Amino acid sequence: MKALIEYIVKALVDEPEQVSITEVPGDEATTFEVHVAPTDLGKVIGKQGRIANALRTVAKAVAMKDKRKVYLEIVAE
Amino acid sequence: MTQERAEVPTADDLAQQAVAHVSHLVEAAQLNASVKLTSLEGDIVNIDIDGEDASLLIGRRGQVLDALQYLVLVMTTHDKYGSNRLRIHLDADGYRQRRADSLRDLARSLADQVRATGEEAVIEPLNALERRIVHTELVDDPDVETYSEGEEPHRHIVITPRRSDS
Repeated sequence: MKALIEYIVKALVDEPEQVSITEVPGDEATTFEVHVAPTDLGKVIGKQGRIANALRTVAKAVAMKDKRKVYLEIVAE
Repeated sequence: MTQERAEVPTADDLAQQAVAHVSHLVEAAQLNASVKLTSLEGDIVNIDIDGEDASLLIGRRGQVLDALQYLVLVMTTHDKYGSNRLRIHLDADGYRQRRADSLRDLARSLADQVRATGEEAVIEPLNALERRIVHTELVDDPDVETYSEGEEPHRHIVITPRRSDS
């Protein structure tokens, strides 16, 4: 899952070298913190959150294979 | 910043990039599925995902597929190259084809209903591509006409009796 999120986010931003994904395990769900350069925040969130929502939708679908829940948080470094 | 002034890529370059993105995505997600470019017609890139895990990428009413398709488009074009706009049609496990068939059936049966009752019929919200399938199916119908109303993501089609102005 981490690899998937990282791949997508790095392809979206201008500064892929500043992307890092932190995995925070929980009982019911895993949270992935997506860290990007402040100038790239908009590229990952999109207008009205459209890109971030699409990313969440895809991550949730893939996590269903392992019957896991995932949350995504997008953070500017 | 990596803002080099690169040449505008051709549709073929972009199609190859889009397919590479989908392939890498499927691999990174550890899904058992294969990705192939089925056609490139003008600026429309058709990419199919098939295999054991492909159906995971469809979602309810194709929501996951739509999300993935949008991500791949942004990843490929970065909203740049304005005039060289690319359209990516992503399918998984033949979902789009099945959905198109069922939308055409729905359009025809609702048209019959409108014809019989003289009252308009409303279809649940559909995305732009799906609405186009419905509009196209009924464009030549002598008795009914269609229009869309509402804002995304609630934009939906209304089928009404054709106005007989003439």
